[in-house]
Amino acid sequence: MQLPNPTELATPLFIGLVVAEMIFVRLAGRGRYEMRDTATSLIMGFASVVSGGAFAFLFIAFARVLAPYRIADLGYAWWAFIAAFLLDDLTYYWWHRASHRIRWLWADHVQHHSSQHYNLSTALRQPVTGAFTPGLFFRAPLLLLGFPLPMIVFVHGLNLVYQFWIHTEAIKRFPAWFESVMNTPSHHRVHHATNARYLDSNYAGVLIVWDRMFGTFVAEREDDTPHYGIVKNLGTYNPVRVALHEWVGLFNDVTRARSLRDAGLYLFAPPGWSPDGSRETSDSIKRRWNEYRAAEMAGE
Amino acid sequence: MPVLYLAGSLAGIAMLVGLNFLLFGRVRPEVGTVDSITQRLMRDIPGFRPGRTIIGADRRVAVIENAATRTLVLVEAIGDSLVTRQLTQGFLANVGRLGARLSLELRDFTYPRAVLVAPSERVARDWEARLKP
Repeated sequence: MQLPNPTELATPLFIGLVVAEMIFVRLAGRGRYEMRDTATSLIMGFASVVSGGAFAFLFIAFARVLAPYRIADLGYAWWAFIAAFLLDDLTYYWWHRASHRIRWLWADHVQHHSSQHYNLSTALRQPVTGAFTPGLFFRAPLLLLGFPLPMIVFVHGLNLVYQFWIHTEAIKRFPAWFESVMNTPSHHRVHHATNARYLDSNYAGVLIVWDRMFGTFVAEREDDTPHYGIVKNLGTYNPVRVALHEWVGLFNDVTRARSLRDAGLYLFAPPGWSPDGSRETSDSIKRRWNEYRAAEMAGE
Repeated sequence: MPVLYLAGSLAGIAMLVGLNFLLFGRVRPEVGTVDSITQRLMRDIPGFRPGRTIIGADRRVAVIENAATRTLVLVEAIGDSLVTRQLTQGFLANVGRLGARLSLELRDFTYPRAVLVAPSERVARDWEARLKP
């Protein structure tokens, strides 16, 4: 069955909404745009589409390898689309969570988080090196359950289209019922923030219920405005350096590791892990921040 | 992948970057004041207390001492944002000085070099001695 590519169809909408947001930011003063940051984000979005197309064969090959082992053939019934969408969103949650907790995956995903801005152009700052990570394996459950490959690609596209509009500071909050079920700009601002209390939270794609279920939900607070980017913000707008910086660091660490165990941990432990603990992980930042807050409160 | 789609995307990128320039202009990068740098560093480094500070003549780069730990922090304005680095041992590869101009070579793929122009050669010499790894 031939299904449309939602991200391709939505591209004019993406451009229109970025224009609208830029005008809104200029008039209302809520949010920030910076020319070179925007250019980097958009170029990376373009490069991501090209690299996605170039490496699509990997996903097709992966699906073919798994095809003999699927437990059913679910076909294209309407309910299968809904089930595929929900399960894809669940597997997205776990892939996204792993992408923040496993450095090999982070080397790719960090590219999306590398801007200190949070606007609709940031949504388009997509990684270009996904083919070099084991991220594909997170798609295995849907393939093994028997959802057709075109359906999986289609619902995943819908998921990505939904995630575009939540990258904005222009929208504060939606009614409580919506905020409790859906991923929203407020929830995703928290996800992109480097404030200690917000680190490693809100991994959802479409439904925030996954974070609530698995204990990773953190609400945005009025008294702790999100600051965006990564713990060690990048000193460049060069898209090539943005795309490669964590890979270079990872390569250096793995090749200079003193043992096989250390090399493995550099790959699979959380970003910032080091054998002597001299670098900072999100856990150590949170711990230090909590200790500092406790000391401050005791001092008061 | 349709060539038309790719060409349209490139045209869209050029249009959006142009619109960004029209609406917001080009930002002159500035680190700000000691107070604003301190605010930022208190956010990045829990417990940060400002000590001696030097802000470059072009106001793009500053080095500020964390009085709580006696360590130095490099701050550079890039676009409308600040990039900060704690100058820990091993991170700062080399410090060079030419008159009042200090050049910091960093072991950082995205931020390999920072240049700070001190108000005078004497001040530059003083900071060079503090910064030398």
